[in-house]
Amino acid sequence: MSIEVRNITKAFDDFKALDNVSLNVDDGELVALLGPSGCGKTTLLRMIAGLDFVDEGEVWLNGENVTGKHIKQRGVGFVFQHYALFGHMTVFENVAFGLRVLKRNERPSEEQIRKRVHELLDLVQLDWLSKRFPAQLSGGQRQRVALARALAVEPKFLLLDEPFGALDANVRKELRRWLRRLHDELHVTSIFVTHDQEEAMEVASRIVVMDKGRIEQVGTPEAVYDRPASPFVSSFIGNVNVFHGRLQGGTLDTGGWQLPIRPPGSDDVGDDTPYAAYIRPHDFELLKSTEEKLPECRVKFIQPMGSVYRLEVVPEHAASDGLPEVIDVELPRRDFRALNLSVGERVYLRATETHWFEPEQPVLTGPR
Amino acid sequence: MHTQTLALDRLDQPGARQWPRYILTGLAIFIIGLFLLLPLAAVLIEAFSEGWDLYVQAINDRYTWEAIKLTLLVAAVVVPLNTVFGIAAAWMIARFQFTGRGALTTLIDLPFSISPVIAGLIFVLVFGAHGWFGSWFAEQGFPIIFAVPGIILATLFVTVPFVARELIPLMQEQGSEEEEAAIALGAGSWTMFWKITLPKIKWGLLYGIILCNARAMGEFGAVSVVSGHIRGQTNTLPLHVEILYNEYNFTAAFAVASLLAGLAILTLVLKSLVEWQQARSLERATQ
Repeated sequence: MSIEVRNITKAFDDFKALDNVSLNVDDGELVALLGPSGCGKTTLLRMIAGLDFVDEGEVWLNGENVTGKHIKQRGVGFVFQHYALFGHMTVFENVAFGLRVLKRNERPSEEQIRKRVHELLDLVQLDWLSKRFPAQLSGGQRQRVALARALAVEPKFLLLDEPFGALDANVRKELRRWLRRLHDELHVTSIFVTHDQEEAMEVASRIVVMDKGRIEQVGTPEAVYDRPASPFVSSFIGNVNVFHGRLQGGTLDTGGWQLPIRPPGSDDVGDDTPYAAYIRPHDFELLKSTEEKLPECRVKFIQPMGSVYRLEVVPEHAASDGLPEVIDVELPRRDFRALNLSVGERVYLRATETHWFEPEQPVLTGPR
Repeated sequence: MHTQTLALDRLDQPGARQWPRYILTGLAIFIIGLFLLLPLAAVLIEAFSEGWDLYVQAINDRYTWEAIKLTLLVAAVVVPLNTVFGIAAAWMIARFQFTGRGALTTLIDLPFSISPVIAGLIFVLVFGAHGWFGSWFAEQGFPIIFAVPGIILATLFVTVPFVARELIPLMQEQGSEEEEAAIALGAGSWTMFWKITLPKIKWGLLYGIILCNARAMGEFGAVSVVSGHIRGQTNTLPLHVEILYNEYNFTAAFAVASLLAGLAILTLVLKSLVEWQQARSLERATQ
């Protein structure tokens, strides 16, 4: 049960929501569409479902072109961001709805409907609430009812629009794991939309990163985090410090302040070539003293975050547009304790891993 | 806003001066009494001034019965038409983006913003004996002005906004997600309307229908212009009251008026019931 999207374009008035987007999802995958709001991820999901129609391009489900087909004929289950439960019906009737509206000759008997609905409610662990109305449920419970309702019609594809968007942090965490398990059990090809990179990394087997109506990168959570294909992906998936500068010998010179790093395999690249270095907060080491020629910083702020310590350090002897005003550094608790740093102290900064981009286009990634 | 709340709070505090509260409440009661309750009482007192028998006699008059029947007929035609139109228009406006959407919204309000007499005159101009299409209709043996069709048309025009106005904000606020969910679960448009849309708007719809009905039965201005006041033929209840009054037949006039007043009170009671139900279902939804 594969999903294939071919060169989809969609505009709302002057706003281009999707710009020539193509995507393949294999049978049984659980894929996240990840991006900032307005990037077109929900629009793409609605096109696959058949809730919106494409301007150009095609949608293929299970090897069949369904571009012009109604949502009823696509075999998709859709879970809405705000649940969209029927407020005037009980939980039971909500889940039964998809079965009750089947044509008479396809409709199961009342007995079968009751059995099926209770099975589904058991699956989402809510059978004890079947007589309640949606308004009497918590957000997490509503979302699970919405899921049970979508599954009632035995969809071949499951599409979820920001499924955990409106829930508080603890419930989200719990539901993410639960969705993951449910998917392992049912193996329905699923796509879910999210703007939360952590959620995408935790739940999805592959992540589709989108920005401004285009797909920036498709890959496993590990790949998009460790080998971002563009500056956007690097900064959207996780925090990052950006250094703009020019290669100068063995260093990146940001204007009087040098980081002793150089893109791998850039030996034949001449001096003065502009580059951008994207470095994650946890890819720094701090040293109190060093024999090496490392840039100097001063500790401005220390925040214990539990397992890690978050530090802000300020580059010393530097006045450059290429530098961030403060550099975010994350140290594991043990390393921080060993250093025994305090605010105002001078430290030396070493980058252990860097994503390199030529200005406006990706080139090389890797350590050093 | 904030300071206002503070000022009001202070009225509730112990030791606060109580007289502004009494004066304001008293004024409100006085005005309601003078302009609403007193006239209503006057109608009833006048209607029964000659006793119950004469009251019954006044109402049990052939022309009064004709007027009642005509009024009921007009309402029976107008209210369903405007209900269907109101739902359709509200659906269009709340669910779809299209050219002319703003214009349609404004047009629906038009009957509220122009005088009913003008509305009546427009119909005379278009369908009257010397109007654009009037002579043609008259030749077909189907006159519109000074006949029942004219009364229905005028009433239809005047009561257009009630249902639509009630539903548009309601449907806009509710959004279309539940409807989309129903479609996604395989429901056809018709099933979606009956099972999802209608149950969600039913109280608002009922409220609109009640107001529409009250206005349809009570409309005077527009109907007066197109009716021709032919007793037993084109005389609705409000027109009948006026005729009786102009004939110095006060008891009968007030007796018939009391019927309309009774309708008004019944409408208010129904309206309150619906509002109460609405509040209750809202309460249940937000528990």
